[in-house]
Amino acid sequence: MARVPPGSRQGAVTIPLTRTLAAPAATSVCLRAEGSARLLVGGEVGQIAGYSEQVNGRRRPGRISLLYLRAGDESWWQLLPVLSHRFALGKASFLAAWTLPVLALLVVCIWCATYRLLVRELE
Amino acid sequence: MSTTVEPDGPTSLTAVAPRMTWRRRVNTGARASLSQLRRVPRAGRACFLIAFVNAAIWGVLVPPFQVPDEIAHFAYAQYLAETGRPPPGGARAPYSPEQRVALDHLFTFRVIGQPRLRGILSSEEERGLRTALREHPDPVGGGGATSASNQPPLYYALEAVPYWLSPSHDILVRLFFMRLLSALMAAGTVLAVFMFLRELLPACRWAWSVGALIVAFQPTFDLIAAGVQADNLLYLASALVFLMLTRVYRRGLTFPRAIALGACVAAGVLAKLTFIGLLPGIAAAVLLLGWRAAKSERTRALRMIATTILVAALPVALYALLNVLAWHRGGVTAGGVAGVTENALPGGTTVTLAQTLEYSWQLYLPRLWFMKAYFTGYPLWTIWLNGSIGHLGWLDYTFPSWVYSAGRYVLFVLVGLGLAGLFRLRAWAREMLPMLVCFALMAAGLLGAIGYVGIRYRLANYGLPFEQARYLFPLLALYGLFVVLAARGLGSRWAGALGAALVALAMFHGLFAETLTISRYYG
Repeated sequence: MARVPPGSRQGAVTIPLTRTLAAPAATSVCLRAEGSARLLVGGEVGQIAGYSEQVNGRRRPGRISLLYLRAGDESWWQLLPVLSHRFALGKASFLAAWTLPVLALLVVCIWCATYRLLVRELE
Repeated sequence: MSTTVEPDGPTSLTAVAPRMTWRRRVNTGARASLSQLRRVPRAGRACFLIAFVNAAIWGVLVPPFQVPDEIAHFAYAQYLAETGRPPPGGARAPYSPEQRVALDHLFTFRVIGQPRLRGILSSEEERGLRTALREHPDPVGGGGATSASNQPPLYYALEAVPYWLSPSHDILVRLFFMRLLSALMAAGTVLAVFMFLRELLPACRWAWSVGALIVAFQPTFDLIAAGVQADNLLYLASALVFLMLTRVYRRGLTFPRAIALGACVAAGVLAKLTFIGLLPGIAAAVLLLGWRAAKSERTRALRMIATTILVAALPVALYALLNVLAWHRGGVTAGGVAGVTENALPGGTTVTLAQTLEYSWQLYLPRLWFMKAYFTGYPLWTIWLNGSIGHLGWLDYTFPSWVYSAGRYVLFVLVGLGLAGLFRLRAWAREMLPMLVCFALMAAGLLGAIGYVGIRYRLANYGLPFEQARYLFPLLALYGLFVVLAARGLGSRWAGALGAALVALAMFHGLFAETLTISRYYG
């Protein structure tokens, strides 16, 4: 259960959930608009299917777009292990969680190589 | 047939002699090529390696199919690799079932243009992708029309090599190795810029590395180098043409150089039709080189010019013939030229010369009072400068706005320094003036071609923007030269230090773009 205070503007709306959901997150979401304002929900147009949105109980040809955010506040430093995990997903199968640290190391290597090259060429 | 063989002399065994000569020629050619490679300075090889590793990093950083138009370029390359012929185009399925499955499970079309959306973020989604790919969907598609299908096949034919050499038939593994080939081409471009500056400014050793490294760390260049994208071969061929023209201007026209120049031009035309925009300037340069060579020996000069033209034209003519006779792609250029130069639009209207000129003018210069406005901002800043600084991904994520404001001030300073540098090198500029004019013609030809195609695209697609900063990147060699001239602006004493500072700035710029990319797709 979560509530968005009145006055939200058009665009992405963040809904603060009161409890954390475990993956896979909820696949069925009920949105209720109070008051008389017109509500538009972003997503994709498509054929009516099991995942299609329902408006007032009737399926409509579209699916809405919902993204679950991670709970609490995290710095980029704290997020590094998660980034490393995500980085390897959806890529060539031999890339794994080690890929991001290795790339960072390679960046350091080419910076050092560039520094050495410039120092030598400028002498 | 004589069978006399003299002990230490040339053989008179006529049946064997031609083969020996041919073999010897091949060996000599190979030895000459190797020795040419060895003659590349160590700094040039270092620039090549740095550029390759940097582009390969970008290739891993950017998720599959998130490089502009990579979906279409991969589809072309896969079709060619699987069937041995370029896609026929038309109203067929443009992507193979295998690519379609990958695109769907990577949520590619949902992520493109939506900077808040991400691709695969969980192990469950990853398992869904792997399960779908394990069912071995067909890698052969219909070869239907995409934004790339009218282009010539050279880049895609080269990409077919890593496609087949890939140790796995998994589409994502194949894509990884195909991206590495693009990174290799980007590194080749950087090396060509290095050699171009070496020919142009042989006394300024620091300038070769500075100009090449500036290109190597350019984020938009690296974004394109990250993907399966025919622009990579276009950039390489263009940089090689700049190099060859300068080399011939400096050292004279010989048959090997005439052949090399012709081959680079052919590679450019067969890489991407955009290269045609450079041709008027290249033709002027070839005429200039021929005229200079004719001063000493007219017949030999004419023969070498003819060689250049033949070497450039024959592969293109062969491609045109194959298009019509073997591949049945609908026309000499597979509709590639006709498709973007058509004056008649789908709605029945036509593009007039006045519209073309007005639009092309506004692309680069301030709009004049009598012109119809085609842009809301000033394209020199909003498209060309900001786009070069970085409109990343499918143009769907950008730097914070202060970066573009700062970039404009950096440009003002660099232009001022560049003009000062040109003044300091005025003796050199006078000596190189005829070739520099030809380079300017090449640039003008490209700018004109972008305008000519752009207005037609915009009007045919209800105002959808066509212009992207990467279209200027066939001129990367001139970008390297511009930065070197700017570094020379404060005088020779400070030139190296200023050049190194500009490279450092480019490296931070590139690193910023990389972190932005990580946050865009994985944060």
